[in-house]
Amino acid sequence: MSGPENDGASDEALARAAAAGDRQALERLLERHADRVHSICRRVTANPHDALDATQEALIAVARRIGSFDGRARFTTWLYRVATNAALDEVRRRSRRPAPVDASVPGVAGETSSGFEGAVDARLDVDGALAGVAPDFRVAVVLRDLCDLEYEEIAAVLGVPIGTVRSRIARGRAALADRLAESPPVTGNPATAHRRPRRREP
Amino acid sequence: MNQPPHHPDDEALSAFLDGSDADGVAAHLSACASCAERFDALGRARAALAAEPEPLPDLTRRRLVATAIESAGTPLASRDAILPGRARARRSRRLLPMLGAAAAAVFVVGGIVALQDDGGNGADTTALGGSSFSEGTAGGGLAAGGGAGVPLLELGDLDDPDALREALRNSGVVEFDATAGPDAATGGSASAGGGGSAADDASNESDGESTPEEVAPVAGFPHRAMTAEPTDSDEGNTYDDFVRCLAEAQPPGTALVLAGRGSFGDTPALALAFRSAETERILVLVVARDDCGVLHSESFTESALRP
Repeated sequence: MSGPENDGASDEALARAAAAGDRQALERLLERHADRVHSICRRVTANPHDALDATQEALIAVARRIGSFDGRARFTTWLYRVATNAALDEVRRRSRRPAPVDASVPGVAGETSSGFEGAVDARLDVDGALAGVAPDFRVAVVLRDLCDLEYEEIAAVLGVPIGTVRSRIARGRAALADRLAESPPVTGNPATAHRRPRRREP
Repeated sequence: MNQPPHHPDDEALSAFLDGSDADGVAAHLSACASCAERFDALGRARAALAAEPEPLPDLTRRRLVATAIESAGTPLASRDAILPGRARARRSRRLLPMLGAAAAAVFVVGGIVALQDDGGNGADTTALGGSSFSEGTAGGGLAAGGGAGVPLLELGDLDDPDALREALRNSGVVEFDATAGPDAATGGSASAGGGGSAADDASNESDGESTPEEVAPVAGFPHRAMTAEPTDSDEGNTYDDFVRCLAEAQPPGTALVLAGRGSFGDTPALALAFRSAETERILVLVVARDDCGVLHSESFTESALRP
């Protein structure tokens, strides 16, 4: 499944082709979902540095384990499991490391990314609030509210009962709501304070 | 309107947000201002999370994907087979998105192996790590045309990126780059590590006949005994293994330009900086001294080092 026909292929078709050794299909699959993986990692790690590391780990895991995708669930369900595991691993690693000295976004090699960093500035309130939410709850609300997964799918991703999913989502939202209420509005950078998160397309 | 006998908890309110009204929340909210306020707060939290973070810059995305694709190929699979025990598990824990792990691996080994061959230091073991982390110098014998290595500096906190960059600035890498080509880079690395005038060194070495500055050994560098074969135990990972695991390709013109020891948090660690003459980039790796796991990696252009 090489060539332009990959562009319109379903995730599952691309995954099957990738599992069979089609590198272009794998590349297309990763390109298609890299932003979403990064979004998950960003929200779960609540840290731009760790999010990039976790994204890299997740994409590597997908590339290496694509052969284990059996097609019984949606590809995105499998992908989100990989992404959340990578992000949680990064959170655990971070907990064993000292706090970074430089809190700025690392320079992305060879490119200026003021827009990227500016957007990061504008979202510090969410990150700061998320950082105060337990990782297990964070993952549940991210899968529900960012990824739009149903409770059943989240249960499958996390390997927990639906009741646990419902409880974690509620506790995660509650903790986030409390912390957002405590946070002052973002005013530190006039150039970026007006930027609001882009709404996802339906 | 009759109000239910109890206020719904966060779980019921949250479920109602998701469309489930098994707990009769709708009826309660219409008559209870405090619960309605709480419901709105949960809704704001949901909206905050539903906002998609900014997409990755295109270049970053391409590099992330390229690294992942590369990782599925033979070179990194070979590395897994080579690197044992904990080092294997920790090897990629701080992969740098900006520079692919595979590229980094190739980059590093290119410097070590290619330069060692050029240096003619007589190391005839694996020619990979046996003298790469020798007593007193890192990359001992790596420098071309001489045999002086990059001295191990005392760098202190290796988890401070600003301090690492400052050490690189002081090493003269930037000035070195202004005049040196790939061949001179190896000699320049020795002088840079020695803290001398890099510009002078570069001019001296432009004819390839220079005599690298003698570098005083740093005593007590606690490297482990090198093993001829990697072992599959927690105790068997050595710097030799670390270097060995990267031995996949040897691009030309890569030089070890800085080596220092210190700590990354509580972890005793070693910092190594490599310069690619081809790409004019500096790669910094911080590895744990106990098992050679990569604690941090960073890549940037030489121009980024200029004040």
